[in-house]
Amino acid sequence: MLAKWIASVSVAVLAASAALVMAQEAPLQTAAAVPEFKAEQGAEQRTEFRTLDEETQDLKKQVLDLNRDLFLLEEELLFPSNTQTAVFVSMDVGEFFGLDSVELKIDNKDVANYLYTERESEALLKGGVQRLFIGNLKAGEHELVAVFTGQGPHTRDYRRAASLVFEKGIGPKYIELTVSDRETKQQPEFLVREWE
Amino acid sequence: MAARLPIVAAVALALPALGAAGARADDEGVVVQDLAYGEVLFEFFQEDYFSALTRLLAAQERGELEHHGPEAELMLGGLYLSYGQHRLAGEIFERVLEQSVDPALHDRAWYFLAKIWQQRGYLPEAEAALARIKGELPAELEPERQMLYAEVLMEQGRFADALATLEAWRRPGDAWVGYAKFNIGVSLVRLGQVEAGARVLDEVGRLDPENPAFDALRDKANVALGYAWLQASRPVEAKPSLQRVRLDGPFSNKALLGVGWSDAETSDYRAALAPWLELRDRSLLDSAVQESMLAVPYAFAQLGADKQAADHYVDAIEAFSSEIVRLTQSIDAIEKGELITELLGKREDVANEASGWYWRLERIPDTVESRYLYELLASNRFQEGLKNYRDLVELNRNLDRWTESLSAFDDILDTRQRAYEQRLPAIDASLSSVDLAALTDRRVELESRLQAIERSEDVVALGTAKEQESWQRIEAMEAKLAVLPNDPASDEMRAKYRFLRGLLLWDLRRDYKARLWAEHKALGDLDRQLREAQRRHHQVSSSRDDWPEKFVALTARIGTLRPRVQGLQESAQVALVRQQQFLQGIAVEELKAQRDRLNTYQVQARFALASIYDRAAARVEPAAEPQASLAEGGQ
Repeated sequence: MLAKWIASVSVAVLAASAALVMAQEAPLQTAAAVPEFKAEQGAEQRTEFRTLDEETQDLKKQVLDLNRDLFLLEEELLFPSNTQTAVFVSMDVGEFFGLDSVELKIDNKDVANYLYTERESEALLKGGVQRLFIGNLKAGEHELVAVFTGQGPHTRDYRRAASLVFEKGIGPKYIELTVSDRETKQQPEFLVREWE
Repeated sequence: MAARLPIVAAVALALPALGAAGARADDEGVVVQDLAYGEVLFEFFQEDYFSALTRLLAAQERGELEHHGPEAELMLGGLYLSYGQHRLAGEIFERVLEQSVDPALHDRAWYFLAKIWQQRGYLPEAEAALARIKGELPAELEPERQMLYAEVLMEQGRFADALATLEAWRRPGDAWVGYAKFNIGVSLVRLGQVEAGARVLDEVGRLDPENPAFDALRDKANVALGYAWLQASRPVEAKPSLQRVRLDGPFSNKALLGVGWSDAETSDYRAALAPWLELRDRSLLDSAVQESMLAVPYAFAQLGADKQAADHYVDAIEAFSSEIVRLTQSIDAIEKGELITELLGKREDVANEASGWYWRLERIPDTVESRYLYELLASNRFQEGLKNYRDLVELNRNLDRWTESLSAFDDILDTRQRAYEQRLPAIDASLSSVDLAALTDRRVELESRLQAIERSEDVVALGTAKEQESWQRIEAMEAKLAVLPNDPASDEMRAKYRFLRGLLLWDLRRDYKARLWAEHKALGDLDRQLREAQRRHHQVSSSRDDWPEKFVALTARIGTLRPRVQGLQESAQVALVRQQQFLQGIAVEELKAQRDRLNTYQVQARFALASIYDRAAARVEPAAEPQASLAEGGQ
């Protein structure tokens, strides 16, 4: 009887159907798939998948913990707390402002010259804080000069500078440079803040 | 501040739904109060979840999140989820979300966790997570939640429950209602309720014909409906729905095959041949096309056209043979590891894009293997396995980088140790040249002198050097004046003496308060300077004393980290190979199933061909010649 031949296609059609339309990310045309495993192989593959998935989860966690420990060690080694000095960049602008670059000099030496990708600039706009520079300075007085360039509303180019004379004490020193238009509306400026 | 907590944390959990652009902070949104938290956000907003996690874990370890404690914990959960660490995310959500968190955030977090669990086949966990959702999700997620729940139930074989869920959630006008109905229809057919299922599928099959967005869904429903009728041996009902399927759509092959079968079932083989012959020039990758290669000669044979039937069987056997060869080549290629490379590119390029759970294979490369495996490659299990594979590649690269860094750490430590040893003599000399104890003693002496002056109101003691000298000269005069006779000249001198003494004492008393205040102030300044000197002395001295211990501790830390890196490197390498073997294994299994089916078809074709030869031989029994020629064609 012909029924024995049509079995394979019809089973595929009906077995596949339910799962297909719920492949939400895929457009419908490409969701014309038969994604589910056949019943007899399903259980075995599912178990194997789960074992591997759980092992991968464990491994990722161990590597994350290792990265945390190595990150801490690296900072302690390279930037001991009595000389550590870090400069951060953040943004606090109401209107759209695209940050293009920041140049940073400490004691008249170039220490950072950073060009921002669109992704990084966006991340700053959303509230992220970038550690632009981390290095070692002796205790005492130092001078920082920072210049940023970028584009404000109506494709207007900006270039602004700020300077700060600061005292480096015995503990770590953190300085935040914020591109802000709070002081003068629609005129981004650098605000400098020292963190203890 | 408290009001902001959910908003900031929601940023982490909003990402999957809205994409990176949807998580913009505004004036009342993210207010970073700890720089370390801002750094985490900077990585997170760039979708670099691994770096964000590392920074966050380090910040927690160092206690740098004084102002963002609770939201940082929730952020950690969100980041774990984004990085595909669903079990850790679940543990954190369990702990944090059940406390005082915005209900909308609570529900959204459990929804996304349920989704990853469903995709990875953790079905009871997914069901439990969905059950935690208390309210209704935002409009764009609520239908997905309902579908997800139905899917979780169906994947556990609980069709009746799935059906009840979907029935309870029928909302006319909702864009997802068509999909829900489709699933209801299929569930009903699977439960054996063909009539009821067919009614629902028929409705979906006629859904909004003017709207092209539903084209694929309509086709799918019509094909499912047609085959449901065919399976139920009701070919006449099957045909209309199959004929509604678009001829140029992805389901047309199955529809054409089905139309043919519905005619064949009613013994109208001539009619059946029309759709089946239409399939002849289509891609042999499709199982419907493969099946039609057997169906066509079957129909010819039924019509008594043995010659055409034999010709088509011969064509089918040849086509199946070459297809089997291609499948075998593909299986070999996959077993050599070519599939993963084709899908992801070279290993060094793999992890350059965003990592984690939101990544999805956007484009399936156009190769022989991927054409056979299109459906498998789109499946959740393959996609999720591929994500794990990518993450493992990145882990391996990360560990390779740290192996290099660890050697550099040794050098840095050695350099610092050498610098310490070189500076030590100078530091010791400098420390010993300063006698802080003597300075402190002098300060104590000064203070007690000042106290004595204050007690006795010794105004002279605070006079200037000139005043003190004048005072001494005046005091010395007193004894001399006492021995002088009492004559007018001496009396005048005594009067002058009293005047000068009174004048000087007047001046000294007048300035006494101000001078006393100035002395106290100077003593205070001295105190501060002395304390600063003591502090610096202590700092230098303790740095000098602490370093040897610190050196030992840092050396030990590097010493313990090195075997951890090496051990994980080995584990990550093994896991990567196993993950690759798993993905290859399911691909090979799929191809072997296709090859087995073709082998079966080939056997059936040979068997049918032999029967035709037998019949032909029987018809021309006295003369053996024609049978021989047919047999030659069949070899």
